[in-house]
Amino acid sequence: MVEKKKRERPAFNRSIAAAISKHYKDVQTNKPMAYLLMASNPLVEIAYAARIQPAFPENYACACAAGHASAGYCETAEAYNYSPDICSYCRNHLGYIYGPGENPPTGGIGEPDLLLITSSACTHYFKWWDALHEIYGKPLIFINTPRVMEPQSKPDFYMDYAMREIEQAIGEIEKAVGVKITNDKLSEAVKLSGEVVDYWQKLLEMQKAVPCPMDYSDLSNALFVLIVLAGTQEGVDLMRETYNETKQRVNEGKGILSKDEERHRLLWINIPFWYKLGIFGYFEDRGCVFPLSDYTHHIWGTTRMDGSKPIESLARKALEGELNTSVDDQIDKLLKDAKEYHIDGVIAHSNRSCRVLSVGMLDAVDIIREELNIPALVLDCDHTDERVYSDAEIMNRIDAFLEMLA
Amino acid sequence: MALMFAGIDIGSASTKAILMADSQIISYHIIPSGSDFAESSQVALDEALNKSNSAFKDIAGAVTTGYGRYITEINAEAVTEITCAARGASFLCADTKAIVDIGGQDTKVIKIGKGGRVLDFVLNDKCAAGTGRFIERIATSLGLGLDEFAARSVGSMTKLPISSTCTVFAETEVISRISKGESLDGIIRGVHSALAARIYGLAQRLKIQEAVVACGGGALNAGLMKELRDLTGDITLPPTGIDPRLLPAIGAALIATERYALNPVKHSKLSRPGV
Ligand code: SF4
Repeated sequence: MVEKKKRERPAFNRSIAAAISKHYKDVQTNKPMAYLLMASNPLVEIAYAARIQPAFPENYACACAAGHASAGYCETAEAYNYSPDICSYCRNHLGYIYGPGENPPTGGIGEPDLLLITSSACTHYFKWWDALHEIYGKPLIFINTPRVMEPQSKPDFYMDYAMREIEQAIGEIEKAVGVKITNDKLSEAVKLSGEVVDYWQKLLEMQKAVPCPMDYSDLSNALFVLIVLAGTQEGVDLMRETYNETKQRVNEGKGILSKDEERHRLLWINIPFWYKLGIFGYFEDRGCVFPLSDYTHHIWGTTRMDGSKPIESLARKALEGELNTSVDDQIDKLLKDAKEYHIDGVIAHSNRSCRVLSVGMLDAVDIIREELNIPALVLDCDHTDERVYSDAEIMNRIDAFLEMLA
Repeated sequence: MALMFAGIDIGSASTKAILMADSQIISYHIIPSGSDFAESSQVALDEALNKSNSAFKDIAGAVTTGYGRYITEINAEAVTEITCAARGASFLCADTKAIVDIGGQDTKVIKIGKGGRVLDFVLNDKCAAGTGRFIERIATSLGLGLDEFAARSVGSMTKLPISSTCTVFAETEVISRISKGESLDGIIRGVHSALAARIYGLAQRLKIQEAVVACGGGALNAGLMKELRDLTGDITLPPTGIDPRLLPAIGAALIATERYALNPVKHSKLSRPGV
């Protein structure tokens, strides 16, 4: 049996954990509060410019899954006629609303005053936010964005359209909460968001180092800063701290595993199993790290934000997220990065909930397998609904994959 | 005398223990796994030892495999049945490029390289419909034994397709078609054909075209093998006299032999409760 090792995690994780717990206190009390969606590259900068507290039900679903509360919330939602085929982020949230129980994870999230939605992700969003609109009776402000196939060659009128949508939404938000969103405030928030993104991009670049300085859990912690705190000084400070520490680790040749221990560099495709994050430690104990994932590298933080052009930057952000682009574009990015990050194996989560990330995934796996001649393992599971997870089956597949790599 | 090694495969349906020395099978024993994997692994091994007139202390090294590989109280090294089956298949049929292992709990297609090394593998997704359980369950609901169920499929000239992809729904579909007076044997062949199609789909994911060996309990089912051959053309069984369920256990014993050769001290510290 391989020994389970306790590894020292980078210190920035403690600062991020403190920010996460502060956020979950804030979303219980701060007003006005808006619900935003993460996967559509949320325009959270607008909320900060308007001094609105943002809350993210998807992120809350991750917290619930990590606290093993999601299965119960999903069951509750199903009892309220939400089909098991609906994304478990959505079921988790609605189940929490209908029956939070006595001790909801992190203390729960408060009721929104506003519902903000950008269309550039999946179709679940519309009906989910419709349901919230019906439950809370609060204004629903919708920013429509065209679907982009190739982000580099999107037509100009897409940008014009998205910018008009954003300007219109800003007007509606001002009306809904009675706050003026001045150009200065918006520029400042976009400028701060740009600083966060710049650090993030440099941070990702450093994952190419051998040994890999951060693991998947470290990166997904930093994702919280990138998505939720973009547009705040707190976000810039935290991302800078994360970057500086990681840079130092790289300079010192310090990795999650030592250079000798790091035997395999794997690519994780799709969202992780939030209720089983220990799986990454299992891989580490067997000499494997995950320097690359579409989830951490390609969905958020891909747009450079320019404080002098706030609306244009926000429009680009809304249009360029991976979930708004073609499968071909996604595969090209994975292939290119797999080479640059020295990837020698793939773990692909065929996620029953998130079809937008799973359709085309088997093709991606085949193409990577053939072009790079590296092995791949597909795991059928779900990111939040733990009832779909079978430990014996998943671990058996992982063990066989690790034996194959050895 | 050559050293003796054990391979113990604790599968969801059956437990197989095999003893080998000098790459030759000395004895083996297969029993249903039941609900107590620790117990079944001990019993299977004891029976294999009895058949070869040997004792636990005579085993130089062992490897456990199968879903119950960690549950057994025999403190041997554990290796997945995917690695073991590949090793066993290449030992028995040196030219094998792939195996289709149709077990009770899952179906695996494994691409094999030199020396029985696993190059790639796929398993059915989490549903009984792609496994041996699919056939077992429908045979049981019709009150037929597995041998008769397979024989009726082989003998049927007609094939009535089963459209449901879920085992429970397929069962309902079978019953409702019987009640409409459709040919029972044709339906039974349709059941075998549905499973064969799912296995074939899995094999296609790995683009397997070359020599394939079938193993696992499903390989004992002549009806299923016939339908698989209709789809794939070339699919063989292990050599005569070798039960197709034994491949992972054989592979496990061979891996135990190799590991012992690398580090005799570590691999001879075999124990089990009371021994
Ligand atoms: S389906 Fe995917 S993109 Fe849509 S809410 Fe669920 S996880 Fe997010």
